[in-house]
Amino acid sequence: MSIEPITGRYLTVTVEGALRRIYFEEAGQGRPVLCLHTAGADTRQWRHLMNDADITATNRMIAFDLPWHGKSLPPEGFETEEYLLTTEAYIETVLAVIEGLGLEHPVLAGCSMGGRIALQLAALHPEKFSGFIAIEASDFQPAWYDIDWFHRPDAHGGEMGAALVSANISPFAPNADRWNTLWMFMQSGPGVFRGDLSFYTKDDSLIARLGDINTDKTPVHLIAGAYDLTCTPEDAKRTADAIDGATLAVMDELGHFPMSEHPHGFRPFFVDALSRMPAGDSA
Amino acid sequence: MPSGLAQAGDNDVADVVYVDDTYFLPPKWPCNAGSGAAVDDPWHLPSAKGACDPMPFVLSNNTRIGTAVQVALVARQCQGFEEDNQMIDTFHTMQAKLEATPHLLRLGRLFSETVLVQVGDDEIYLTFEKGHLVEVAAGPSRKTPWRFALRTDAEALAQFWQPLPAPGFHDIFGLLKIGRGSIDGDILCLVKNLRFFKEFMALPRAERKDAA
Repeated sequence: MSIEPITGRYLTVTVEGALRRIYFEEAGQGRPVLCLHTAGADTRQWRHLMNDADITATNRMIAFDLPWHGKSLPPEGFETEEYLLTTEAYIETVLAVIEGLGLEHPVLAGCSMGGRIALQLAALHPEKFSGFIAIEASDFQPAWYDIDWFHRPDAHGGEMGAALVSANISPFAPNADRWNTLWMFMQSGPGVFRGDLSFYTKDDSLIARLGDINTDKTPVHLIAGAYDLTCTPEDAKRTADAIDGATLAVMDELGHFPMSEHPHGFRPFFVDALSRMPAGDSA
Repeated sequence: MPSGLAQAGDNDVADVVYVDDTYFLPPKWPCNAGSGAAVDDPWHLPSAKGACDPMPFVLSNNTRIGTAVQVALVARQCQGFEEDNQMIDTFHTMQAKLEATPHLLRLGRLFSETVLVQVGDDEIYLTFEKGHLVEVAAGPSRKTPWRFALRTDAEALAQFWQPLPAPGFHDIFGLLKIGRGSIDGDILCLVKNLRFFKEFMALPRAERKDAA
């Protein structure tokens, strides 16, 4: 028997003028590191790093489920609402969580659409953070699929979504971790993956903002997996090249969900990324 | 035909009769080896379809379709299968492997479609019934309707089937991404059955020894 050090609680904040009950988890103490999950998934993607005693010895690892994801409920009235995530709503949610939890200049680590938002925040609200780790993140990714496939009454969007995103998982990923990763997509609520992809594949506003990022004040480190079909290392390099001072690491044997598809393989890249971030002022 | 037997009318590869859950070919033995095949070798069958008198062949699967696959495997040999066509051979091996993979048969239980796989200039028509691959037919064919098509080349497919494929070769959508494949037809049908079809296509891929 074992009990993990991760603890989970709920936080209620206001986003877009309405209350959001948000589930968050944390482990460790020291420099706050706020972690953002990918589209169609939840905080469980970060559980391996949050259970890593060496990392949590000096870092307060925090992850939260976006509203509509994991254990965070959709807002009241969702039953008649079409879920479509926007850059603005995502940014407002991250800032509300930081304020609600009283985090002082956390490192922001996001994967996929979480990485995209990390770069948006690096451009728009750098004063709130100490640095940015953008994993499988790029300036813009148009869809190579029809996002409407994943929300329809005659098929299971979660199963289809999982089958699609498995294309982004490395063959080096341990089988159990591969399927744990896919299970989150299978569990995703109806229309949620589609609503996330809508933002991810249609909003290209970051492209024009990359030049605004000042890495002298807040370092930006990108990490990309060679097996990621959605955000390829070339996409990440193009993005890093547009940010003066940004650094990039390419993982030859990993894919789009490195922290959950292959935790052991991802760990050194994440530790390296943390070492590039300021020590933090709340430790 | 004895009382209690019924004709499996929709199977065109061989006459199949069944009683309850037991299926068998009409007993005509020994095999008439019109092409000179040894009569004592039931697996060495003549080349012309219909020229073979099938050996007694009793199957006891619980599903009729599963049986049809096994019947087709025998009938294929009756049709003078081209032994030098390695790709067709590979798909027949996949056919047998699918039958030995219960979770895939369960995932594909609603999948009854014909899929075109084009490898280079070779067309291969795969007909699935309720998750079972009941026919592997070499093309080209202008008469065979198909639901969706996966087109690639032999070298890409060989890389796809490696235990640890290089990036892009690790998934059928990866082949598209790197310009080594295309998919057309009813793609929504593919997506609805995506896990089934992807895992079917990956059946020749040897499992990694170090996989968790």
